[in-house]
Amino acid sequence: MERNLFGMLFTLFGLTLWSGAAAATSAGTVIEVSGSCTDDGRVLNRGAPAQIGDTLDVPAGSNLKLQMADGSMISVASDSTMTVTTYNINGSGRDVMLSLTQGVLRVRVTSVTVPSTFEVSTAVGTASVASESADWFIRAQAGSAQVGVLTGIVDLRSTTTRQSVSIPAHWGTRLETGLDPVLPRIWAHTEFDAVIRLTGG
Amino acid sequence: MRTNLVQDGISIQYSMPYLVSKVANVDMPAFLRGMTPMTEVFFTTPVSHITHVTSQSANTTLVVAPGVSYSRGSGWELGIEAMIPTTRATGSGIGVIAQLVVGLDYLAPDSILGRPLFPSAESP
Repeated sequence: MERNLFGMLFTLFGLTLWSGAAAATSAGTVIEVSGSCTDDGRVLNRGAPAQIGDTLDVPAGSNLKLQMADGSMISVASDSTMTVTTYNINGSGRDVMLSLTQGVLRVRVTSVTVPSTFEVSTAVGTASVASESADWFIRAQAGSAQVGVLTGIVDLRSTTTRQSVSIPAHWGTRLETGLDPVLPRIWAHTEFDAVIRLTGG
Repeated sequence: MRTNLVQDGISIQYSMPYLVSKVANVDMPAFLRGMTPMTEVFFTTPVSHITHVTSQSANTTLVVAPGVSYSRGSGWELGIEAMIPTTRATGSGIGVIAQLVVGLDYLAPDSILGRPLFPSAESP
């Protein structure tokens, strides 16, 4: 009887450990870091994993670059906060949801051979990659978001009105709280240069 | 050769895309959110130094063109207007004019049609 009880407790302990490990699935790895970037309060160093559910904080004057599990690269500008909400890639598809509370991201999304959903949400709307691959920027500020696309196509949808626009390469647009996205326009090279500088190239 | 005709016009437009993306979230159907109602007025009138013109007003043409333009920021824009003559010199009968604008730089941004013919070295 005692032996059976011990066995059950051991199994339960093992299951707890396994589920904990599953919840902490690695989404990517830090390949560049400058300044005191943190992951849920832990200081990030080169080679550190970024796991699903983690909130990465890049304070002013710092920069962070991640290589994700699917080969995509995410550069996080200074004064940014991003959460890896979902990052699943397997034989049936890629499902990515990042949450940008504030700041700027450069996202270089690689193409995959499986169905793919790659989204970045902000307080005012969600940007999703509509092409096989893309190289694009998203900026989240209080009450607004901006998206600029270097290559590929990105859709930007308003959280409030559910209206969306499609942004092709070399174009960009912005979205303000409670409104439709502004119709896209061609971005000047100075606008791209500004966000490239912020995200460290 | 001296100028003998003045041509001018005015266009009054109300952009729903601007309204719903910059001003207020007005509850309206999706297709109305891309509409820009407009009224344009075109006129031509002879200038006064033409000696053989006895009555300038009799030779002035004036067309009022109410219409609408539709764009949802997806690389094309369609405009359609009625052409309403308002003076005897303009003629009679109402016409319709339509214009479809296709943005090649939007629809094919990486093709030769979507890029500047003479790009600057600083282009991204």
